[in-house]
Amino acid sequence: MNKLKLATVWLGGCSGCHMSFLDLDEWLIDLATQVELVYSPIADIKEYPEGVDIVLVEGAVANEDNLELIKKVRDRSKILISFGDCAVTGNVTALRNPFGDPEPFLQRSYLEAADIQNQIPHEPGIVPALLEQVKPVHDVVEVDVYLPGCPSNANHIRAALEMLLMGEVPHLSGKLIRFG
Amino acid sequence: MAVKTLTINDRLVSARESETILEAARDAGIHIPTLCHLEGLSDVGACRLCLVEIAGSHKLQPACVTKVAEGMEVKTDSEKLQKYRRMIIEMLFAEGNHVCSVCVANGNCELQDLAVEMGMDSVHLNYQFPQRTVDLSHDRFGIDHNRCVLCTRCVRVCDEIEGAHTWDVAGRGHNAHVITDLNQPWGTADSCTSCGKCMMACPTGAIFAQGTTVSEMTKERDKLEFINTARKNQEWIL
Amino acid sequence: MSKLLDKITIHLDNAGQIEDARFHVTEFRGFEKFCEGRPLWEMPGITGRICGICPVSHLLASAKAGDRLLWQLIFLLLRRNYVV
Repeated sequence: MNKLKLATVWLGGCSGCHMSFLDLDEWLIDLATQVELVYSPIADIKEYPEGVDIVLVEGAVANEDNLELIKKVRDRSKILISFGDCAVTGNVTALRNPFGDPEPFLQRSYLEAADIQNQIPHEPGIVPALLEQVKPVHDVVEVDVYLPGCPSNANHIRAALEMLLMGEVPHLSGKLIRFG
Repeated sequence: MAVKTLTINDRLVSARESETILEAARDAGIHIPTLCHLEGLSDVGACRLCLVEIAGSHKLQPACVTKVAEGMEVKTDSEKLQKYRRMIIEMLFAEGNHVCSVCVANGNCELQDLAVEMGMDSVHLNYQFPQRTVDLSHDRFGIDHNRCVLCTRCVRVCDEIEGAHTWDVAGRGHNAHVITDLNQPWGTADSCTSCGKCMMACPTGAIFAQGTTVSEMTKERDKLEFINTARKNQEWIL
Repeated sequence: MSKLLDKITIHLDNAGQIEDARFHVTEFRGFEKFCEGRPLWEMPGITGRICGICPVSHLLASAKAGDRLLWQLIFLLLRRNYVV
């Protein structure tokens, strides 16, 4: 039997959900016998591959790189899991949204608060521009499973993945969908 | 005292004439979700979560302010109601800035519990991201309007139980918000007795005790219950 | 490091010498700004979310900064009330 292709993606977030995923400890060894990890920030793979079966997407869509990547991810994956509060609601990444334009944020961080070399990074093509508003993943592309939590509890991730490995798309409820 | 007989979810229930559908249902052990209702306070039907279907009426009625009637047939949990309730919770989440993960009430929040109950795994309305303020001018408490759902429990508890009427609502629609005294910083509101009942009544982390951090806020609602029981049974009268 | 915080790119010229090297950290969220005006006591919870790999260091840093601020406050109050 062919192994399922699993990918994990990190957009605008803190990577805490990936850490929570790694908290699955020895179950990760079981998981590795059933899936092949084809793309992840914790693996050195440059390009998001075609034909991914399950993808965990952490983080909100905050800049142009995120936007480009999430569209590619949606095109090339079967089941997309919105993974963690940032992906599901925008969460902390979206705390800048009520202020509107991101420009004052850049000024505060890179000019007013800087000790040395105070300048706003500007390298077109290298430093991605921030989006006006941070968006949850399902605002940009279609999402199949929502797995909230900040971070998602490791056991909840396992529960969702186990259902997916058995070939069903889980409809989560109860404490599995608790925000925060 | 007249007794009325009605059916709730196909179950025969008897209730006193003066009771509401919500009270009758709760006496019979039937759960109806609520947010703006708080035991001991008057009901205003603001949150619309307790909407029920009554046979013969094409309108949904809020159970907390609808009196029981003889032969009434009530449905509290139809598919339509579940859909409506989930939408109400989604609207509340989309309207304010509810960031559960960094909220003082995370884990002790009625809005968060209701979201779980309604099976809300995501919000499909556009988040409004309003620009709202935080008032920390009071010595002991603070209010973060980002987390306010306008249930007006603080307004009612302050007026009806404490008797101070420090809180009120100003503005309409999108601009509605709770205010202290004459729309001034809470710390300068002379009518406030600093009793903390608004904080105990608040269902979310909007009104909080200063010094509490994320997930730390508990509402000590048993203190309110204690006062309610004492008032009802007139326990202080010797 | 390159696997955790986005990527490091090294550009070589034709002679195989390093022409340019970049450490890409594009995860900008603006904590410096949106924390302004929020209650001091919430800071450890918010700043802990700067990084999921090292939340403890951010949490402790903000807790210590908060302690320093409160210490200053106590000092000012003491001076105002008790020192002649």
